Amino acid sequence: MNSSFAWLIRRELWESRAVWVAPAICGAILIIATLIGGLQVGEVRIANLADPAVAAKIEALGGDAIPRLSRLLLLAIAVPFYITVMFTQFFYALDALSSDRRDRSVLFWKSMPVSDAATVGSKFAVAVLVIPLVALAAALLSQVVLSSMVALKLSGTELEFTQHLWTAGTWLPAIGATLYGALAVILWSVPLVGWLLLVSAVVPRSPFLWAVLPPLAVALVEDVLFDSSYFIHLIAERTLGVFAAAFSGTEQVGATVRIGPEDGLPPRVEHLMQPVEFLTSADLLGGLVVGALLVAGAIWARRYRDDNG
Amino acid sequence: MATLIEARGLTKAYGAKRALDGATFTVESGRIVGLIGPNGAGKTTALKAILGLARCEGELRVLGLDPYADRAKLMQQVSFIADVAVLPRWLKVQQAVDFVRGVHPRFRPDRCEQFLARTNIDRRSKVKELSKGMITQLHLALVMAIDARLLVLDEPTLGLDILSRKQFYDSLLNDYMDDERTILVTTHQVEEIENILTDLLFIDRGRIVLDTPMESIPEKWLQLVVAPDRAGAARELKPLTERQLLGRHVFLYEGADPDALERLGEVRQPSIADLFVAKIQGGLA
Repeated sequence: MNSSFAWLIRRELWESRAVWVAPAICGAILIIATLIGGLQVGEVRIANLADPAVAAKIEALGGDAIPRLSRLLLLAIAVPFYITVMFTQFFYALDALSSDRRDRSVLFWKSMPVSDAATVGSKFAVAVLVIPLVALAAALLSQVVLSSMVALKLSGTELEFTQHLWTAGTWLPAIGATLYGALAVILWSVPLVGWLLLVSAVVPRSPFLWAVLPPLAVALVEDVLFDSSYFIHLIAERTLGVFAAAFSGTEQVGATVRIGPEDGLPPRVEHLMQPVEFLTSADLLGGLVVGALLVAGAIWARRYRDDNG
Repeated sequence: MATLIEARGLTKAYGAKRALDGATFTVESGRIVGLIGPNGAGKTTALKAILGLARCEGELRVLGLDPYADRAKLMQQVSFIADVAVLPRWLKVQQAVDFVRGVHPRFRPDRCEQFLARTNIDRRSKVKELSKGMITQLHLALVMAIDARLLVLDEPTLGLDILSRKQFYDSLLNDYMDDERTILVTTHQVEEIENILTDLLFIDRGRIVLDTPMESIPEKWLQLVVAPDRAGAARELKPLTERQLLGRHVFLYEGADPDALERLGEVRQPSIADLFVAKIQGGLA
């Protein structure tokens, strides 16, 4: 059974190349953007670090400023990968249980001695584990590549930055925060992936429209009838809200990473993480329960749905 | 001889329409059974029930299992080809072979290799790059390499040219069928399976209207061809159907005395198509 499950996972990867293509594109964009000088956290552009005036400003912050800033920059590199994960999960999960009904190949898959629970389970595992882990690997690789690019750019200068680039003190907390961010994205995505798998298993066709239009309609009706936007906020919270839930003060990070003594030192990356609050929050635990119910619903729907729609 | 499929009072309603309406039949091992019926008669629904793809009312055991509850387990012993177009288009030939080997405990890779070696199928091709005939060959190679007790074929040759259809059934008979195996097949092309069937099941409006081994057809049904002047006498013997062919009258009888028929004209064995017309379109239409 275990090796059979591994084949189900492999099957998913044969079909859905976006699992690794999407993070690869994300990494490529980051690298190109850095080369052009566009990558920015607060007012720090990586390409600007070689600018003596900018460098001088940072060094003027003194003390711990440079390693703190380095760690934040490394974590910031991971953020676009987390967002890529959400997009990839969205399209993957919507397609997972509907495309084979559309082309009728579901009849071939169902002719194999594989239970519907194993099939849905393999798709759930790809969405919540494989996609984030591949993106995590790409994020870590990008951190190394982008750091190397900075090192190359700063080589030959006397800047203090170069001394902190490759130290364990910079990297260990940054990698820790990156892994923690990936864990948060994984756990947070469970109910959303469950919902998308259920939609994918149930609707006769056009899962994208079914997943997107009803929530939009609800939000519109809410706006017209009650002049409120609770539902839109709920959706935002269940998606991008992961950052606010897992990290504290994310909204201030951009503002705090100012270059200049008057704005104070950048925050320590390890102080941004709030794992205990996050892992015990009702939002997360409730989401996991709802996600499990939705996946059970998707398994049930997979059993009675076939090519007849 | 073991009973592979036992269905009693199988019923399935889609809204007000009854796709199956108390169908009762059994399939014994070692047989090649044709499930024949007009469109919408319930053939596909019956197969779906047998394969555990649809839940039905009534009693149904396949290899002693409840198909809907135990589909995954059942599929270790049952293979099916729904129709030729269902292999996913993005799948590569080699991936298809690897996948089935990976998930199916009764798959024999060497047999699959043997079948594929006889074709022009390139392992690196995707299914969408293959012709319809090749897709069938690939699907058949995968299925024939599975050591299954029951093979279910639902319109397996739909959309294939004559050559591919013939190859399909030839491979099935020569390379697959043996005493241990059982095949249940539905098709509109009755003529092409006429000679390979051992049993006949007619289904109409969700009910089984005929269930007979092929060898007993000549004992029960006879076709009589007479000149027009004998038609009246032939009608006296209560035929099931009558039609005219090239100026002569053709009658089909059930349980008639062969000697009485011989005196009127030429007695033949009816084809499945003749029986189909008699049993399903019903009587003197």
